[in-house]
Amino acid sequence: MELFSQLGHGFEAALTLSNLGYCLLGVTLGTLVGVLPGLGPVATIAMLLPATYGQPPLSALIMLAGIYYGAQYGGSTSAILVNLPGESSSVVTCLDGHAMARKGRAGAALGIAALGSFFAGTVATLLIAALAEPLSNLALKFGPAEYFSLMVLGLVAAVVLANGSLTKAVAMTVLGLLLGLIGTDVNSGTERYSFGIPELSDGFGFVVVSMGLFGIAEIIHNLEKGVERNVFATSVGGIWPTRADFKAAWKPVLRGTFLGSLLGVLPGGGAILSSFAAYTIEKKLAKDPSRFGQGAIEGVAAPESANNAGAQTSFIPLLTLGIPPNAVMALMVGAMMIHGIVPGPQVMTEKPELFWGLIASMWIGNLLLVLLNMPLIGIWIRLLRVPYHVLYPAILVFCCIGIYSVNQSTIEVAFAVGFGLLGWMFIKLHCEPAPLLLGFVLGPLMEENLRRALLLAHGNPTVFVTRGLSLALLLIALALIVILVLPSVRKTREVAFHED
Amino acid sequence: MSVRRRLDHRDGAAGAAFFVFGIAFAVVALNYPLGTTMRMGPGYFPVVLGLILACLGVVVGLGAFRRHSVAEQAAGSTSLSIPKLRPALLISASVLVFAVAIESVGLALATFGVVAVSSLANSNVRWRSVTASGLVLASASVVIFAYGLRLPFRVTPF
Repeated sequence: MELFSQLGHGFEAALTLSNLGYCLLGVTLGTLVGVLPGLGPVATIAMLLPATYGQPPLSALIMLAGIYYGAQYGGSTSAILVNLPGESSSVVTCLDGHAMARKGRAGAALGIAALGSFFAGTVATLLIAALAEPLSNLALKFGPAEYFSLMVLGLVAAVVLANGSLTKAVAMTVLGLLLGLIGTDVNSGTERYSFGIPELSDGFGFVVVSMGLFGIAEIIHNLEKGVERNVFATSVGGIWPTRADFKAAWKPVLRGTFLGSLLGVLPGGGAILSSFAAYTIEKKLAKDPSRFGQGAIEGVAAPESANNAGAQTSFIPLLTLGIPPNAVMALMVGAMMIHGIVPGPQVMTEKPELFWGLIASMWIGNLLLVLLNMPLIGIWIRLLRVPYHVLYPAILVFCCIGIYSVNQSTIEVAFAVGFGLLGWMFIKLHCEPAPLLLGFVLGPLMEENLRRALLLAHGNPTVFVTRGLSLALLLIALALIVILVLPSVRKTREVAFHED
Repeated sequence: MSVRRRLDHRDGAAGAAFFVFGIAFAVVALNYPLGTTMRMGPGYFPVVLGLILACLGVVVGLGAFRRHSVAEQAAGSTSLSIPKLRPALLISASVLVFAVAIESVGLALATFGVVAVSSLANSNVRWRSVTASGLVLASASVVIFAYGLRLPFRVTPF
């Protein structure tokens, strides 16, 4: 089996002492930001991007990926113990996880969340390994028209799966596309929207935008509304779930893993939606749905497996097609670019060690997370008690250092303040910033491929529907829109996102 | 389910913002060569996107007039409250302090400045704990970033 020999090489690359160290560092940091509400993986990864300059590319990617899926684990801890989702994908875990904690079964809830996540992570890792090759081969057949259509699909999916108002999400995406166009136009060399500011000739830096929108804006918002939390941790109870717990949980774990893997691959999908969907399904399938919300273990097992599987499989579009399906993956693009790697199907053939090493590290990281989380729960609980007024100045300091160290530019730090205020305004207006960031990354790519496709087709816009692959991608995008407009789906979506 | 008509200020403000952004981007882009659909100039794509954004702004804005179900109204207020400006101003100021201080007086003092100014945004400031965390963070960032990761920072004013 070629697959296993490649995975074997991947493990060889990932199991060096330094890479293991970076993996451990990544998942620990990830758990940390997952546990602490108010700082998400996007802001953390953005902060650490500059710090990865000096690392070998594989180590850098291993660490950053670890932060992302580590945060899924950590998010469940604060959801269960404090009833506060540390990460948006843990929102539903609050419902039954915290109810279990109130009944003195916090340990079992944490245990099943960790074990379910580990199982889901293992399956998702294998899935990435299996799907990578065929998808990369397909992607090599892509021309500019296909790439453009794929990005349309990606943006449509991002909008469909965003929570809140659809029109607002579309508008945020378009605004992101426009912001991405700032800087020198590759085709003509014209500087657009730079207004003679030399720092803008390359456009806004990715770190500047994401740090402002996700880091600074979040802090302002939290301080404005006032953050309070109540640590509930009188007794955690046994970590290892009982035989009855396992019996009740194994099917939800399987279903959650399947659903999460599927939704994670979809551009724009990933962890948040999969956890909502998994919870809804379990509640529908349950013999006695009234138990949900009262501490049903299925209500912890399914969404926690789903969000971890979704987090992992969202690497598939990035690694095989070079298209980031969510904001974290967009940051991974940035990390790869820093090291001179152009994400896309060629990475697999040109840098197999990097590609398979990263995949292998995900499984290792998931194992480390279980080992780390079960015994260290006490430390995480103590961390939860750090008050916000001590925490946020520290976050700000790291943001500032992160932005400044990208280009040693003070004006970029000032730009980030602008994006922070913009992001704060968006939060107040109930507009989600994630689609904007995705549009920002895809904007220049999309324009380039659109222009190239039309040039090759002599200006004939039908090129997007006459080429089979491109047409198929656009049809999927259309189907997504149609499904969404159906009244019944609309209603379910509103209910699913109601918790926010 | 009874329905009540109430203006959604959030949607109204968001729509207006999108409209203004869209028009602004489109108008500026008109200064760049438009080209043709076959050979797009640098202005083509932004003009089209800007107009799309402006239209979306109108749609979002009109949404402010739609009827809200009781459930929606219960879920969250649709009116905008007057924003508290203190956190926004002080957090922005603290980041700007960093921008000004990092090259003139170095990382240690810049970090301390961020902590001191941003702590003012918190309603009950305790100076002892602010000083303590400022000192801890300043030394931590110097050790981690300047010495550990060897990022090229000016560390002290001297």
